[in-house]
Amino acid sequence: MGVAKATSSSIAKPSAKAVRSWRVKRKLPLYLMLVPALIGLVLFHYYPMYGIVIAFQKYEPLLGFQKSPWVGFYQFELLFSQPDIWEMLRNTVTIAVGKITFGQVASLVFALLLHEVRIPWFKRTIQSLSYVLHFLSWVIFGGMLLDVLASQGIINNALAAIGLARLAFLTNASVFQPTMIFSEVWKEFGFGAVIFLAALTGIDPTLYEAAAVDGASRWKRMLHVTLPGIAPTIVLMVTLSLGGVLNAGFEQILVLYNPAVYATGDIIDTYVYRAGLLGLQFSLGAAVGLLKGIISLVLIALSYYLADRIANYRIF
Amino acid sequence: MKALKTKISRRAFLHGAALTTAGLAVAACTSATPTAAPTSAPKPAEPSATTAPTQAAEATTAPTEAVASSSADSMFPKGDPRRWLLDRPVPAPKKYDNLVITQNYDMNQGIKFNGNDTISDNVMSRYLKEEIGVYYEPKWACKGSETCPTAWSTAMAADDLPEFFTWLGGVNLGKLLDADRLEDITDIWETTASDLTKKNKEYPTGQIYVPITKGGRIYGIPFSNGGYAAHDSLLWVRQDWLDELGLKMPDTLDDLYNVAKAFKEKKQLTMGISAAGSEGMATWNSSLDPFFGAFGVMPTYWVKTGDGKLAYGSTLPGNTDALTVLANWFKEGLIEPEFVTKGAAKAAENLAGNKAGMYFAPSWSPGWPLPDSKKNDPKADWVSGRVPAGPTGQRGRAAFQVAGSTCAFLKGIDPIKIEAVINHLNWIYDMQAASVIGSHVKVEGIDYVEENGEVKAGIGTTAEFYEGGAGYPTWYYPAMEQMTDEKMNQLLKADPKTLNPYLLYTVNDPDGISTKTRAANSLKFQTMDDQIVNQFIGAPTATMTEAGARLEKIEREAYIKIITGGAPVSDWEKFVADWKSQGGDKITEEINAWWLSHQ
Repeated sequence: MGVAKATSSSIAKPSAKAVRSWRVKRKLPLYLMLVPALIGLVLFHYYPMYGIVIAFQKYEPLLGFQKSPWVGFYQFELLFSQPDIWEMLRNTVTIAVGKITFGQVASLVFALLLHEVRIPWFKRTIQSLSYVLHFLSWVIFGGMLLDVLASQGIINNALAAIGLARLAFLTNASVFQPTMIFSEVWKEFGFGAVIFLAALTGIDPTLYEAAAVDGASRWKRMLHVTLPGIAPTIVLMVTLSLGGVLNAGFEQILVLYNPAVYATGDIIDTYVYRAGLLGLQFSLGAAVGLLKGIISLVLIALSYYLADRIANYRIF
Repeated sequence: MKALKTKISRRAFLHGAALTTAGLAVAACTSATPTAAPTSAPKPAEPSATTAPTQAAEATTAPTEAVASSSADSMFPKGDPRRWLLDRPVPAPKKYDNLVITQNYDMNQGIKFNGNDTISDNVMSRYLKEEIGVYYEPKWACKGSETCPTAWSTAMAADDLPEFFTWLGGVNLGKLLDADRLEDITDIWETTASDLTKKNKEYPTGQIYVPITKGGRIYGIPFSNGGYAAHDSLLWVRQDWLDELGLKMPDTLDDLYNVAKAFKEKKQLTMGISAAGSEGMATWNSSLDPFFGAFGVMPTYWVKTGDGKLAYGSTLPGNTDALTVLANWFKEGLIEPEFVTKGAAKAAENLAGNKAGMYFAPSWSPGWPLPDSKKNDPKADWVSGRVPAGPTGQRGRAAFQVAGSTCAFLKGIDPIKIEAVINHLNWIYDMQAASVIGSHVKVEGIDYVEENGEVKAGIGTTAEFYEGGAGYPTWYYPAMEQMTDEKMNQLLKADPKTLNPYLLYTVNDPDGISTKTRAANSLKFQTMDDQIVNQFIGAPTATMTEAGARLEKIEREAYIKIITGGAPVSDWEKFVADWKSQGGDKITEEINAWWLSHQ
């Protein structure tokens, strides 16, 4: 752009049309490179959206979109006529917010601590170890947790050894939510730290040198150089994660919950799984999905707006 | 809820059956009926023959020749797998010219493939291509209770349907039938099915035709129940511990309690009985259904009441008595705190790890998981007993049913394919009828392998492959699958030298699996009155579909809370009121309308 402007002002003015064609020509390879991604986006994200219509139908898969009866907002009414809908909604939001908050904090703190480690091999080893769990599926990790958290499991044995009471992590309704939150954080904090670590490497080292020269301690340097340096990344991560406020972690809960903790562990997604998928009520599932999508969209837009207003930060 | 029950049962079976065969359970599967002295191991006189079939085979100078001398084998050429077990010739099956039928593979968890074999090209598919010229091509496949319900749902949603359905039941069957997507097979069935097949399939009067009948026409081949009671619970107890502690086989709930307490305390166990609580009260390993049976009720089962109508088992009086007992057991630590998180498969680890000395499970337990128990504790000696009696002498166990599952054909399928499947079925039944021990035909490479005249366990069982792996139009075997006294005695009297290695293995029973299973089966069939039968075998009703998930949740939650002490037993009343008001009453009406129309 800048180049084009400079050229046009100094020598004889070429027509606007010529400038435009020159610009397009120059950037054509870039546009072309964008095409596959665009096709993918349209094909896999926009095209399937027509399926949303089934949220307003009593969809019979074997009849198809055309022949399934139209029921308007019946599926939404059905969802909200469930006597325990608010309980499930509350569980969903509590668990999700807990995971977002503790997850982001844990990842950030871990990244900051790791950043201060000076021995490269030690740093690399710890970092690799920290995100190994991320690559285990919940089916496997959950199976391990069932044993680890059992009443005679390793954690309870440790608690008993130091004189504490054994906790029924997975069968006591009042402990279940923290168990979900901390097991998720345990599994994901290392991977979450990767982005923060990447942002940390982007901070200009001369800033640290300057701060050191001015007599700033390591703590002060972290506070005044490191944190402001990655503030945009933190804002970005928090903003993006707000869209997940209704995602409490379906896989994890499906693997770990049981009738004893329905009161605090049953979330919208597990209900949809039981009623929608196992009961072949696809319309109900679609209605919930649509609702979750709309709420997430509103939340993301809102947090984007707030980040712009309060932190004066724009992602795009 | 019925739908779920059916689903659980059938998946449970697949799982169970698969695991049964993990060891050398071929024998366990084929033996079933009473023998005169089930506990004394039947064996031929020769000491060398009692240890293992392989040694027996070696004892006879040339095993293959010994085999050839048996009348059963002379009818088939050497190398023909059928020569092992058939005692008379079977008419050749109708052979087709490379017929390809697409089918859903609802695979048994235990299915393993040899070497380079795959789901679409394996020992079973080659066998069927060769014998009957039919290839059951996998349209899609799923394995185990985790993936199959989802696989069905997505296939239904995407209209990705096979020409030939197996394990079709519950809500899927209902939807396909309602949408008119199944082919009417009445005429082809009438003309093609043999008399034996019709008899085994209880045609036309069997209750099993109820779910697939519409307007007097049948739309599928139902699985047959045949009173087989495949997964009915029996009590399994460590006899060696009973002896050690001077206890007797428990006969009543009180006995059961005393033994559980003694085991837990004296053997320093973490539980008195192994229990599984995450899949409801009745399941296929470490089940709790006999606790309810002892008070004459069965949660989730639709049972006949005094007025001739059907009522929901979880809402009948008697549940509170069973819940009181269970809550007490839990409080005293006789049921482990984790039982809520454990399904049947997970609870079975309690047995393998010898963490419990007692549990309720089907008669096939000696094949699985009990060999693992023995492996970890060679002294482990498990014996089966009848489900315990309650205070009034009442006993009861949840009757296992497959009725409600079926094979069916997609509308528009070439009729010759329907005919081929029925002819395949005819052939299977013919072979079963001619089998020396009333067993399904054994296929070399699947059920067994023969190396240098020695017979070893194969990769599984033919039945297992048929059930989920390759178009099996018959489930479950009729009574002939069960080893009869007569057949067993015939084998016992025979000169071991005239028996082929496979039969010798059955007779010798070196692992005790066959003998123990036969004893358990015998007990099971003598106590069929203990069965509590679910009378509803139709597709889920409209309200069941809409309110089912919710109702199942409040039921499981209430039962578990009461047992674990999170709520008083009196909360059961509240559950019943909720259940009724949140759709249960409407479901009961719908069920009784169905019941009335099927009398």
